[in-house]
Amino acid sequence: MTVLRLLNIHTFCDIVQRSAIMADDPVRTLLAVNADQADEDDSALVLSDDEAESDNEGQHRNLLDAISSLDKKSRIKGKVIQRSEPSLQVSPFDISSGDNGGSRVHLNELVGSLRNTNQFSKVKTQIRKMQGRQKVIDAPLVKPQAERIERSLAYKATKKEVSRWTPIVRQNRQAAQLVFPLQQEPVSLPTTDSMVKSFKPSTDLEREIFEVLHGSKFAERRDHELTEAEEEALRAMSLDEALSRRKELQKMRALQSYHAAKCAREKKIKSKKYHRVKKRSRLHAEKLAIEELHKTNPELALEEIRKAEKLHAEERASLRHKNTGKWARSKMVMAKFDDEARQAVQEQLEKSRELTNQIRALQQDSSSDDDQEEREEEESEEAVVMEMGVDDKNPWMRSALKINSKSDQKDDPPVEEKQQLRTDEEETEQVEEVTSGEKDTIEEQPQQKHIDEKEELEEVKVENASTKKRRRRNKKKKEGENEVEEKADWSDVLKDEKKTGKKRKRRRKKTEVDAKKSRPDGGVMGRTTDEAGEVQDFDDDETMLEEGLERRKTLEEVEAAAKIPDAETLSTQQPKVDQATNPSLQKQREIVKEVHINPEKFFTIQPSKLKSSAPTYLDVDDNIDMIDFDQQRENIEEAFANDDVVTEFVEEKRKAEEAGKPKDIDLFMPGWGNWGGVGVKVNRKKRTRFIKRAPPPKPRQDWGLHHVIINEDKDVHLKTHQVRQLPKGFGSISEFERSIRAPLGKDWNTPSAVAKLTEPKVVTRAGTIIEPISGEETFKKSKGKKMDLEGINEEREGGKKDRRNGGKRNSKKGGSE
Amino acid sequence: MADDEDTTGFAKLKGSKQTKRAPRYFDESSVKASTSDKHETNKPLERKSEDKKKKSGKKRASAPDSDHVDRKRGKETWDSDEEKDPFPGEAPIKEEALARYTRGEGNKIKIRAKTAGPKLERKTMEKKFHLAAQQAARAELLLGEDHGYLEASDDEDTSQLSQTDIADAVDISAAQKHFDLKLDKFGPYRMNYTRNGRFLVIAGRRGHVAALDWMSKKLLCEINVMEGVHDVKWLHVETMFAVAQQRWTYIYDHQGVELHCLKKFNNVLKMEFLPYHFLLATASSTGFLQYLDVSLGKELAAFNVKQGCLNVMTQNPQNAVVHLGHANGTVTLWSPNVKEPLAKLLSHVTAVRSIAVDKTGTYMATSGQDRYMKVFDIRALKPLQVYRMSAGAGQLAFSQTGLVAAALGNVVEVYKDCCSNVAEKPYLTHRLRNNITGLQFCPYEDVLGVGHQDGFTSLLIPGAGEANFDAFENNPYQTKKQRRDYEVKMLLEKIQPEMIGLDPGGVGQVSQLTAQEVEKREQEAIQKKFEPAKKKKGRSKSLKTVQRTKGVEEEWRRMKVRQKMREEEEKRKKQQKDHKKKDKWGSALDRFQKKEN
Repeated sequence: MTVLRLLNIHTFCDIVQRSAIMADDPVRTLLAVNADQADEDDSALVLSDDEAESDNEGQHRNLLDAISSLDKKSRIKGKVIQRSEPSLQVSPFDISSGDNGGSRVHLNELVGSLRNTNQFSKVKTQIRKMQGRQKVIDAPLVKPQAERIERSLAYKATKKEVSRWTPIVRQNRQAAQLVFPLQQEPVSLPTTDSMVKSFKPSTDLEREIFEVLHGSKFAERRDHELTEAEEEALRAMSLDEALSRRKELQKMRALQSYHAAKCAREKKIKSKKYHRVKKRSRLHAEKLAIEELHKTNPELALEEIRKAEKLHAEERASLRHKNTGKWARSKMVMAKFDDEARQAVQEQLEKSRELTNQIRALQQDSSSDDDQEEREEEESEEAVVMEMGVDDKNPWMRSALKINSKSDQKDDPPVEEKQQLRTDEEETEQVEEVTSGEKDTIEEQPQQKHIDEKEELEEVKVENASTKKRRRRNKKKKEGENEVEEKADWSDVLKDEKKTGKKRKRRRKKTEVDAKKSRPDGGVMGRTTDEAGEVQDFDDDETMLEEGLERRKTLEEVEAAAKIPDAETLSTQQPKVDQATNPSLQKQREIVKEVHINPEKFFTIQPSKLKSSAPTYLDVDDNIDMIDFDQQRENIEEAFANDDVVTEFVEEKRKAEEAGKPKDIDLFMPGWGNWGGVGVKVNRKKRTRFIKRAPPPKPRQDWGLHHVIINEDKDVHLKTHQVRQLPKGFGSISEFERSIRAPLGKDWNTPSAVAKLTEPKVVTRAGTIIEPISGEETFKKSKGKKMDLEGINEEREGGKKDRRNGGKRNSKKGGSE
Repeated sequence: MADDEDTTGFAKLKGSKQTKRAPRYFDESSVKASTSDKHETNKPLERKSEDKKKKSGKKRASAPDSDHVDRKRGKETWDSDEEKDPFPGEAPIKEEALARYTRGEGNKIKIRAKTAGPKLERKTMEKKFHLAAQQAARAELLLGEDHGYLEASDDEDTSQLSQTDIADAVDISAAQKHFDLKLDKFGPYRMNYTRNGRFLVIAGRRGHVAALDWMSKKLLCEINVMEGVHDVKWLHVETMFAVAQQRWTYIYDHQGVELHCLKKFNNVLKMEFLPYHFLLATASSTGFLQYLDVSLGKELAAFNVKQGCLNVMTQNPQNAVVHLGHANGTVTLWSPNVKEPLAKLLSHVTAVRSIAVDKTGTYMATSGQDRYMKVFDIRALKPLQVYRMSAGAGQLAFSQTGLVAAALGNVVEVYKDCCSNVAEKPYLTHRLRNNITGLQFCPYEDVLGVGHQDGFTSLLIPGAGEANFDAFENNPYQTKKQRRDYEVKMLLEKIQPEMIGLDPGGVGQVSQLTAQEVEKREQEAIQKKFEPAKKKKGRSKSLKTVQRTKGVEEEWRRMKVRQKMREEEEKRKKQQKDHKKKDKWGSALDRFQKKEN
């Protein structure tokens, strides 16, 4: 660098000299003098540059002489030479500072004239070179800035260095188990496979055999059936076949793409009608297919039916097509004016009906005998439809239709049908009033003892206030905004109905009585009172009504539902007690109806007779009295099977329920903000304002189990052993409880499972030094290391992530290798 | 043996039982089984060789070259070594077996984050649970023994078989297990087997108590307590048993030495020992249910059941809940932690005579004066079966395999599969001379012990006992040293009585606050009062403290009001915001609506 600079200076001086000679300017001369002085200092360098001076050596020498003489003169004579250069700062050393106030000397000014000459080509090129090469070093950055850059660079480097560890750290954290020291020699016994793989023939014989086995075309291959040669032969033979196969494949592919295109086209069609028609045809085809299946493969058909049953159940459980949604409601509003809306609503209802009816339709196929009558009934129904010319699809007309059909065919309905008829009783009566006017004219005949009985019973019923209420509510529901005035006394209504109900009603009652007679009565608590029976009948009516079209699939079920099981005194008496006192229970009962579960069913298990041998006491003489007494007592007790036991139990359960309910808190204080004292009546409104309402009771555990009382109090003692708060990291209580559901001990698990279940997270070997993990070893390109890490990786759980990490690590290693 | 069977025309006795001491009822069958096993094991081999033949045949067909054939023959031997495993992978596990060891549904854990620490751990655990269940299911292979059974020929009925028929048909060691102890002087006997089925203690109403190793018929002790005896029970090991005597309850050791007299436990009629909790539960004629912690010697709890005399009692071996039967036809379920019954169940309309619960805690059989026997699913408390019998069963007992024995007066009847299905006739019947007062199946044996007026009878009931015993749990061949170790282990693993409840998994649940507790806490928070700190220099005068308290409480109240207001404000704002949002993206026609204000 310095050499170069000196060289430059030298050349510069050279140029200045020459120009000075040419210009004869005193200033330039002086400069030249100065330069020459420098020249003298660097005489060695000057010598090396003899080429430049070769052409006008003589001149140069003259100049040097002149200058040296000048110098001598001035020094010797002590003559002060007047400085004439325009400089602000005068250097004490006779040298201009160079920085003379903006009037810098540029290179152009100095050598500009060179441009016009043809001489000095060498100098010219030199200058040109110098100009092109000219690069100015930037000023150094400010310290903080420089440091900042340095820091960020250092950070990057360190990050890179440290991030190498992240997969390893993560692995170690997530490893199911870490065994320290981590670096262990993998111990592996050679397997036969590895031996075979690494086998290399060493002797001549071995080599020969190896070649025979592996080299030739005819050698057997382990994973192929045929040898190479055989395969080749085969290939050669079946060329035509292969061609034809290829053709076939091509055709198939083309067909497939045609089909896909067709489907896409169809999918784009927006016409609703098109889709509707298409769907209908599809469903029809499906139905046909099922029927066909039923003939050919009953098992599969059964499965299909089961599927349909599930769909049916889902439909029943959901409100999907029940027109309760927002859309449906809006349509309902519009239905009055808009045909389309009406149709849409109808369609929905139709759909739900279809779905809920599906099973019956299917089962009719299977059990044709049972449903013969039903089918007949349907046929007659259709006939009526034809007659009346009513739209059969109209859901609002449906029920009316059915009733009509039933009333029409009332001549002698099948016995099994009677129960069903009874269920429709309430609906029908009202419709009958409208539809069959002629019946009203028929007078009540005195012939029916049944009716009288019934009336009495019904009066009993009426006395039961709560039942009445409920019934009225039902009635309201059924009748909607119909003609029955709300104020009308129910008994009156009943009587009115009785008058209008006539024959039909009579028949109903007959069936009821029949049913009662036919009821098997051999139960434990066989003494069902008439009253209780009546209540039960009433309940039956209601449940059946509630459950509508599809609840009872078979006649047996209908009968079963109508039957009062022997143990039912309990259940029948209970609601009476409850309803009077307990509105919440009533609510519960309603809930029951919604879910279509009959709680009474749980307590009805028909006793089955065991062929057990009777005890004999013949041989015993001493104990005969005692045993006789025992026997007697048994007999007596059985004869007077204690009904009180049941009522007692019911009462006890009621009390328990009552006690378990949260109670309202009455914070009222007499005289507070009011006049107090004897005889002062408190405003009821004010009173109720101070009552703090209790939250609604939680459903009891024994709800629906009439024969059970479960203690609802929490076990306080158990709490000492339980976890109080949900441990950290668990989303829900059930999640936590599930996480500790399985036993870990050796009483319940195999030894290896216990070891696995209870393995510690960290294992250290006794007596070994655990050294901190070192980068050198970890990132060493050794295979053993890799295997080790992979071993850990395998242990870890977590699928995808693992693979990703492993991949990363491997790729990194690959790169470094 | 086979000849015997032909001549007598007995029903076949099938199946074999465990190890040395188990009654091998029918040797032939076991021989048959073994031969059939052999056949089975041979089969795969045959098939293999056939396969090989096929393969080689194929090859020949494809390359009908004599050289090739030779080469291939040579290759065949090579092949047989290299042949693929015909049943690759792990041996399949039976679904039912796996279901038996799978403890409920697991958590489905989804891991999204890269660094999923605890979640990952839990997921690993789930996998381990599954693995453990699989292994346990696989280990069923080791339970080689199957409990035997009686099978009738077409025209016969197993219930017609007498004990002598059975004893004649079985081997000598098993036949010896049918015996009769004639003890007609000390009147109706109660009896009890130890948990491993090795020892028996009998106690006559008139004071005779005897403990014996019933298999070797070696007497441990025989005493007369000179007092009426109502019940007898072994405690946790065979060195101690409790006797409920006329007045008090006593504990004797196996030599007949009186160890304790429990005066607090008076007029006891029935006893139950809960082995895992070391509790002796007693029911007295005074209507008290008492619990004695045998390991501490302390009375744990005493409840007045308020149902009069308690003479029907049993325990649910699964959850250690005590079942009491009452005169009003109810069955009550008790734990020592709750003063009221955990549940009450109306099972009969007359008095309950006997209750039995099976070892899995699934079924409860009750019999009443009304001649019914009912089977309940005790987990759901729902009735499963109702049987009408010729007499009310005075005693009921479940065997380890689920047979039910009922004592109808002087007849013992055993029913098979009568809980989940409807049984129509008894499996076995045995008629005794006298009324039966004690009934228990011997654990791990096909034996039913019957205590009656004339002493004790041991009956053979094929298929009654569990065929595979767990020696860590109950070891019938326990040595003295093992017994001592076992006692210590049991004590160490004693379950605290607080854990007794209807749901034995209650300990694993998180205790949640009841509504009352929540309310109580709230109330407490409301009623919290400020307690002023003591200050010096006369600044703690009563007036000052009152003023300070008032000030602070007022401030609290204000804070509450302020907070409430803030909350309301926030709520309102949120509502407004929502409303606005809705408005913003309302119907396009909304713009024509008349603007408010």
